[in-house]
Amino acid sequence: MDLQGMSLVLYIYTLENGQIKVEKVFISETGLTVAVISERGVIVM
Amino acid sequence: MVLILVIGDLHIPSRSPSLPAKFKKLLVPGKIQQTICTGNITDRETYDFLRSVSPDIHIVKGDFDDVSPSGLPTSKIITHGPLKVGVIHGHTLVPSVDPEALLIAAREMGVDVFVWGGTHRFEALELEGRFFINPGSATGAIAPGYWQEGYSVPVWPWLIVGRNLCRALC
Repeated sequence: MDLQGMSLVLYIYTLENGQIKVEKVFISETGLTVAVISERGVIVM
Repeated sequence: MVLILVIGDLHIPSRSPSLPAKFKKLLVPGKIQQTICTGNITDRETYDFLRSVSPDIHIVKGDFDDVSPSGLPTSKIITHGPLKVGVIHGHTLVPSVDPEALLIAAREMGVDVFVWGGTHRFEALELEGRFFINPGSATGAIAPGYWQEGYSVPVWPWLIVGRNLCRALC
C-alpha cells in the first residue's frame, strides 16, 4: 500500500452494553500494520 | 494531522431515536476537523447538529435519504495531501460485501482509501494496495437482510491522517 508519505490511524469506538470499547488500527506509510488495543481482544482484520 | 469522524447509516428517527448519548458527548466543536458520512442520516436535525460540530462535512446520499438535505451527491472524493478518499453509501454495490465489487468501485474512483456503508457492520481491510473502511451504523440501526443476527451495535470510527503519525500515536 503506497500512502505517499502519509500515515493513517483508525480508532474504532464501539458501544456495547453501555460501555465504549476502543480498538486501534494503525496503517503505516509502507504498508498495513495492524495494532489493536481492545478490551475484548478482537482483531478487526 | 487531521481528525476525521467517519459515520453512516444513522436512520434517525425511523430505526433509532437519536445519536447514542455517550458518543454524542465526544463531539466537542472545534476538536474534529472533518466528518465523512456514508449517508442515511435521514433527518435534518441530526445533519444540522453534525454540521455544527464540524463544518467540514462530506455526506453522500443513502437509499433512505429522501428527507435529508436535497442534492446530496451519490459519491465524493476528498483529498488529504496526496491521498484520495472516495465515499459512497454502498447500496449501489452489488453485492455490497463483495471484495471484487469494492475494488472495482475504488479503481473507478481512483482513490487510495475507499469508504462505503449500507451494511451496518464495521469493516476495515486492505485490498490490492487500497484501504477500505465501512463505518457500520453510528446508531446501531438494524439492517434487515444483511446479517443473520439482524442487529448491529453503534460504531464510530475515527480516522487520523497525517505525516509521521507513528511518533505521536504508536
